[in-house]
Amino acid sequence: MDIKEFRIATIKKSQKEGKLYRFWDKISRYWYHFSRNKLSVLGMLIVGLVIVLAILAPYITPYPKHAGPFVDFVNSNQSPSVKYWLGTDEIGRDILTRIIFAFRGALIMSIVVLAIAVPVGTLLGLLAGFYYKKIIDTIIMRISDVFLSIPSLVLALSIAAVLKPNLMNAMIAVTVMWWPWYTRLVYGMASSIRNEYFVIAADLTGASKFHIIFREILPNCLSPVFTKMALDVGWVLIISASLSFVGLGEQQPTPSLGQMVANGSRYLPELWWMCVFPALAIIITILGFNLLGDGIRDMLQSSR
Amino acid sequence: MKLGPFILRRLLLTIFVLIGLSMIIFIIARVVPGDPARLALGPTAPEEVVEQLRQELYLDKSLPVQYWIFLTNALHGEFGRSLVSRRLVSEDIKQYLPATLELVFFSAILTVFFGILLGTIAAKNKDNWVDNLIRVFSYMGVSMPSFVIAIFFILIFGYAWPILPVLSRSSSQFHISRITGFMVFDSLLAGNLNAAWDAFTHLILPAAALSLGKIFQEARITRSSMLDNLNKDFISSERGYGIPEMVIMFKYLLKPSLIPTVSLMGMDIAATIGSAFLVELIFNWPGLSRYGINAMLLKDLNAIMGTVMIIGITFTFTNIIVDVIVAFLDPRITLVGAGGE
Amino acid sequence: MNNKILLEIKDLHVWYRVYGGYLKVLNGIYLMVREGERVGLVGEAGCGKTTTMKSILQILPPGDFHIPQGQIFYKGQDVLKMSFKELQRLRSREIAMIFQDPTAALNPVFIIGTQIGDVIKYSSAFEENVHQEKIKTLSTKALKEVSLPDPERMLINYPFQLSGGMRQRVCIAMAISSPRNLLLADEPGTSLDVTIQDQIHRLLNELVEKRNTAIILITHSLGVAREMTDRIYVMYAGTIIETATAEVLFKNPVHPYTKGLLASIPKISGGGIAKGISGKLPSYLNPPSGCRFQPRCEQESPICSEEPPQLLEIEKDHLVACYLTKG
Repeated sequence: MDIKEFRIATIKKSQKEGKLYRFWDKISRYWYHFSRNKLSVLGMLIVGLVIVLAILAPYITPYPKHAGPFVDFVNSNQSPSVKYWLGTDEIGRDILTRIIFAFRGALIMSIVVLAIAVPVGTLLGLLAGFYYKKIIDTIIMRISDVFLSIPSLVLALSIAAVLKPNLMNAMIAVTVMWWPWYTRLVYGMASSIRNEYFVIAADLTGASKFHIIFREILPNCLSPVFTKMALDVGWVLIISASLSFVGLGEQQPTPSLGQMVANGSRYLPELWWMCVFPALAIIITILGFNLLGDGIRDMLQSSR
Repeated sequence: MKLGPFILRRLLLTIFVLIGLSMIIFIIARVVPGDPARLALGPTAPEEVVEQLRQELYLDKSLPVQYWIFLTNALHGEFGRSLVSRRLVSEDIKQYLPATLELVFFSAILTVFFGILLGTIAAKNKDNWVDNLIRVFSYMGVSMPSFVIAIFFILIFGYAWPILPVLSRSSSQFHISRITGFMVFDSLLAGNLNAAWDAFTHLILPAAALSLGKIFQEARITRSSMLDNLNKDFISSERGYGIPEMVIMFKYLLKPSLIPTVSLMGMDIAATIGSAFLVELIFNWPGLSRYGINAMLLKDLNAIMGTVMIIGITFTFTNIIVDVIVAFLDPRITLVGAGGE
Repeated sequence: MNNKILLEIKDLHVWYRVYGGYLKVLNGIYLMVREGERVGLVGEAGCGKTTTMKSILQILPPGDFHIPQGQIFYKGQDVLKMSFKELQRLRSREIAMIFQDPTAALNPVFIIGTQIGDVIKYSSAFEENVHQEKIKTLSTKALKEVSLPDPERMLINYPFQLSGGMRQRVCIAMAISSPRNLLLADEPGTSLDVTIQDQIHRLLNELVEKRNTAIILITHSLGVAREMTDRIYVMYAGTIIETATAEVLFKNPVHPYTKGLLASIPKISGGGIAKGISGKLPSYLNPPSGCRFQPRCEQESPICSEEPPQLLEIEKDHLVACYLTKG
């Protein structure tokens, strides 16, 4: 059954339910555009796999105890084998298990950071864009300019450094430096949409400012925001891996990918698996999110 | 082209931004930690020592006064003393900054040159194997943080295939007097070609590690921008007037397509300076980033403030330069249309 | 007129690839232009006029366009089979197209001087390696011909610094900067206000008369076509449905669509708002088999939905594609 037949069948099926039909049609169209690129689908699969592994970590890993305080010097420094698929580290912990548990921290970090930074940044961007050229605009944009004036990693490092090194503070650090990107993005869109006729029309017919901002302007800004969000998960992962590489993230014994790479690099090249496998895990995860993000962007663009 | 007023406006904006930056840094270093002195010396240090440090850092004064002292000192390039090296922070910075700049600068050149080149090739070969290969590499490139690439480089070039040096800036047998601080230039200026070559080969790997991901990213952006413009009416019309393909490709298509690429570079520079932090650690490159990270891990507050401030200033000025280049490419930015709609 | 035939399009089909299949935009176009003739191509928005023109010069955006059948003969040679060099000669010396939207047609990051200069520089009409000075002279001359004030200063301006009317004139200047045999004018001045549009039309008329250039003038206004052209082709949904000289077409329209168009023109002598033609253009994705106008046609006969009608000559130089015109 090719795409055309699929669509016709879909449409026939939902023809009775008007609103549902529109929704279903939209979904099927989005899916068509998304799935045209096999790489995007691959990205989605990778991301799905990572999420599933992270959620089910304690149940599916061979040695869940290794993700906590655990020492087993007898089995330390084992190269990959049937017993330990990806080998063990210097104190005998299974690398595979620790990688899967490390996904948890990474995903939590991305979710929390984006869950806070995106709404805050978007809101500020909307306000600044709506009150274009007024005081609020200037204040908000100058403040975000300041945050954008230093390389993000540097800012994140310095914040994480002066606070106690743990996951929570790493999240705070990254969130603080992440929101201005969304502010800037949404500001650009909002300030130009503001001048569109439909906004002026809404204003003239007495719509409240709240309505205009959230029901007229916001929906038109969402597309690039979603795209950026999808791509940003990859970036947050990189930053958090960098932070933990330097030692400012999750602390031992909880595993985190960056820290595993840093640790493992000390044992190169003989005990290469301690460094290479976490590095590969980082690459593949970020790759998955990036492919997914790209796919979402292409999908949103093609269905316009 | 009215570039002058444009630059002036940007500079004024910059000053404002830098002041804001200094406030943020101040807050991070002095206000957030609670007791910066205690933080720096650790929980086991004796109270008198901590008290002494408090005096040194003027922590007994009120916050605005502290900030004022910090700001006025900073304007003179004075950031106090590093707790770790015991030298003036400004001295430390002067020693390490050029190394980082050299690295970032060279990496930027690599990124621009190869990024645009590969992007143009990909656009010309749309959808065939060349394009797809570049696309695959670009996905990988974005996904590999610089420090991961750096580690792989060390693995390959350090152990498996040692054709390029992997550690520090130069082999120990060369001693070149510092003129610009850029080792390659200094060596050339001193007429010592061997030293220059040595410095250059040491530069290649770290710069490549920094720029590899970016090169493919820029290639993608260049490619999509070129493809976007390829369907534009003005290209069809130019073709319709009989202008040869080559001229269209390399002149009329390239210039407008470069605009988003170069704009992106401004943001990229930020990421590069940031990633340089980790790459310097891995390659043992004696630059500002390594100094800064150590300062952060050891809670050396003066050093942290100084480093972040300098990086901020460097980054901001680089942004201005990039914006000027973009304005140069796109005349719509500086010129106020006369008689247009 | 018994001038030689310059351009002849035969049974041209053009398809455009989209989600779900192909848009069959052009479904058998027949068009003919003689030397020095003024031909009008009339049709509503979206019926394929621009696509036809772009096919002549082979400048359809690359990649998604497909020409399954048809021939475009220019001076006897099939454009669709021309080598790249021949195409280039065609574009720089024989035929030039003036785009509908002058803002989109000019490269925004180069000054006018460079753009016109390059058209001249690479034109086969002039010798290789034209001197810089000569290029400048020729550019200025071209700008003067289109009545642009202060041509020298114009050369160093960017397109966005000019008004819409000026940009359109610049496009025309670029088209006539080297001698041409055929101009393809795609709704020139449509995006501007009516007085400017009028000026542009007069300008084109002058140029065509002066140089004995043939011109295909695309317009969606029958009034303009009547004034500015000798022979008119009426196009609907990718097909030519009627063609005749301007006089004959207005006096004796045969095809139901043409009749509907003419009836839609409001008359100063009164009569109220025109009737119009109900319905809209068919889907190009799944076009009706048979006559493409059939879904909107008031008359009908069973054969209309089976086979698309061919263009048949019903009187001298008056061809119609409709099954209902016999007798």
